[in-house]
Amino acid sequence: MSERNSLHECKNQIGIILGFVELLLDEQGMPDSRRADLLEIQRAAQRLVTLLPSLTTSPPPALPTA
Amino acid sequence: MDEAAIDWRLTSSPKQNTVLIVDDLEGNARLLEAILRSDGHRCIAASNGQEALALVDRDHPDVILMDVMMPHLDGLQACRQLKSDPATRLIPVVLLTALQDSDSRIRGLEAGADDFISKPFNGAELRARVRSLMRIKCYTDDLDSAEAVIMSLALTIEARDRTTEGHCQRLAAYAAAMGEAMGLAADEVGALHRGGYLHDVGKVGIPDAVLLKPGKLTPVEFEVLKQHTVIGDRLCGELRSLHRVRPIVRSHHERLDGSGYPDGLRGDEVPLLAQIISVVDVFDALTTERPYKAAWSRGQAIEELHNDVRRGWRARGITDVFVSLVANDRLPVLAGTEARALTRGSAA
Repeated sequence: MSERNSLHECKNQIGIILGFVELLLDEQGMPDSRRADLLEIQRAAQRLVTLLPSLTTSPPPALPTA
Repeated sequence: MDEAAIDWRLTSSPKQNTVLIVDDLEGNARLLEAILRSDGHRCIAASNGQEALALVDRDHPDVILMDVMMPHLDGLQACRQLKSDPATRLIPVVLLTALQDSDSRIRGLEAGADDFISKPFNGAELRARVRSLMRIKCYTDDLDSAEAVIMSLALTIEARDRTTEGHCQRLAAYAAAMGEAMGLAADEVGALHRGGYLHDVGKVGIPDAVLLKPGKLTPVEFEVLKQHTVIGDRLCGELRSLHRVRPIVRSHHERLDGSGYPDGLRGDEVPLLAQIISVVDVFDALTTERPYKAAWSRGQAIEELHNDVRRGWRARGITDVFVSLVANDRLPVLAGTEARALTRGSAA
């Protein structure tokens, strides 16, 4: 899998985690301890999103030599 | 269903607020569905572009959310296909992409996408965007049905006068065949087709005593009849989707020497599409039976069109195109009153 595709796949998977966490957080009447757990998952996933660019800093492919 | 019935659907989709979600990643599709369901939308899902096109055809969704990278048919290709088909091009398409580079957005815009949402997306933003696109879709559905109302009005007028039965269908088919023979653009051919139906829509404002009078009209009555061009133009005036048809409705009784009505236009001032409808209108009126005359032969009718050219009423070039269609037997053949021979891609 190319780096670009891996990045795409990672963003997709993190997006799913974040999306469902957000949906759960929207629910009313949840105990505070459960809400705190969900916020922890959310923070971790958000941190992953910010880390993604640093995983894709491999040097560009070398130019073909004549 | 014949072509006219497809073009002029009288009913809009009964299933309101249906969102089609297209994503090869099941988790993503489920997430989108969960977010939108909570906002009251009905969701259907496809896992690639190919499946999406089949579902669009079957379920007529109101908004489409589509991933770009998918197997088989990707989001850009599917979007392009949806936007090139008149039956589906008004459905808003939102492309979902994890890529934020402007290149993929440009390719999305070129494919006709209406909006973009970057992954990971924000639930509130997604709901707001879909809600806003639903509103737009409602407006375009309304426009569609307004057009259908005017269309049914035109057919009502035809029904008032039994002797003109099938006239509109034949005119639509002949005029579109003319447009194609002349190499006009697809939207102009489409306008000719609609113009065939709508050219006399203004007759709805003309009293039966004048419209259906068996004998010759008095000068006063003729002045009343002339008003059908202006009334029709006004009826279509509010609809953007009919702006190309309006010149046909208003100017199909103009003559190149300025002796026509309602504006006495001369030469090039007479819109091309109106000139085309005028040729086929006169031909059809002459070759069918009317209360005041028997049906003329095609040869006699063509001779009369040539006379009109000599009188300076119509352009030789346009008339010759029509004459060659008739001579080479290339006029669409109509079974009953249905326009069957006309096979335009845009009617799909």
